[in-house]
Amino acid sequence: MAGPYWIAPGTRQGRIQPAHAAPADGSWVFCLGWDGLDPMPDFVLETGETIAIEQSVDIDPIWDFITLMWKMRTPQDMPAVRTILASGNAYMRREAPTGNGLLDDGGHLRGLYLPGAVFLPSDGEQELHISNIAASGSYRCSAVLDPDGGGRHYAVLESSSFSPCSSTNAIVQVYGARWVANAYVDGVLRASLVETARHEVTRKLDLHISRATGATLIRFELSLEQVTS
Amino acid sequence: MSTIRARMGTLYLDNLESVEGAATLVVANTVPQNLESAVDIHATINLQVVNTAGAAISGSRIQVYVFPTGLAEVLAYDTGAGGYQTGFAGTAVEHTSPGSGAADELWLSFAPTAWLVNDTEYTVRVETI
Repeated sequence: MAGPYWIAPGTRQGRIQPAHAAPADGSWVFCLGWDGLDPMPDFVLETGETIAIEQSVDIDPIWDFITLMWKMRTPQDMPAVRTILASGNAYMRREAPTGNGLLDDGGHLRGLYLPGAVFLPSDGEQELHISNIAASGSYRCSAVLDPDGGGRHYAVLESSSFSPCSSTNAIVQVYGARWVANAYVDGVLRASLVETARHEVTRKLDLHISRATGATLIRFELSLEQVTS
Repeated sequence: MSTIRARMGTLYLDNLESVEGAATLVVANTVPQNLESAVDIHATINLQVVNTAGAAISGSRIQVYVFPTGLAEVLAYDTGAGGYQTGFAGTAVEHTSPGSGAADELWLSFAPTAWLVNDTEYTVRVETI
């Protein structure tokens, strides 16, 4: 279990006596993620990143299912898919906008300027998808800026690969993200769960293993997935 | 993939147990589950139909009814009649469980084409023929 978010094993993460969940039996549970309530701590994460635990099990041939209780908590303010510009003028520039104007940063950052649309502060550190323009693609936005006091029309893109270009009918979206819980037996998906925020249900889920026998690996994952529509 | 800033989710795991002596055909992992409340009216209904004898699930005709409890039953899915019926859409995917030589599971999702009715209890009934 690697990752920058693995910061409180034994108290908020891992095998714990939870402060914010009721164990079905006894006082211990295993927690992937964070034993807490909204607002949950935020981290810089990579979509596709996974927190996982694995346990080896010797499956008896008479077993039909492995059952367990699981409960998922999804943060309220996960990034949501949003269209910033449905169709309009966009300029992808070599310069990165800063508080002092448009400055060339040396080539590692480039800017997106939307004269007819504004970014939200929360669009910073999210992934933008830009289409109907020569340099169409997905870009990480490291900041949204209002360098001239006229509104947040500028985004700093972490890319040095595109050539400056413009479009009169560009589409700009910010991608969303969601947490997905998955259970695998020997690499075969057995159950998957997505919960909406504020909907917390303790579920009994069954992993069908009636044909499996012998040494088996069970894996539970909490994965950050990108939402594109 | 890019890095983004996002809040951490949580998954609690508890009470891992083995189960034996199940019926040959079982409906598992229904979400929303029985008696669950505060379900979003846009919710997708998910369930798995599994054959614990390892036989191909395609050998069973599976019908699923989704309807407000107490009202007329509405056929939502029928493997013998083209799958999803009028008013329902979703995905129907066969899976092969670990160690099985056949696709012995059918995972179904139901997205009603109209929203579920607010404050209404629904029944999901699965029949195999």
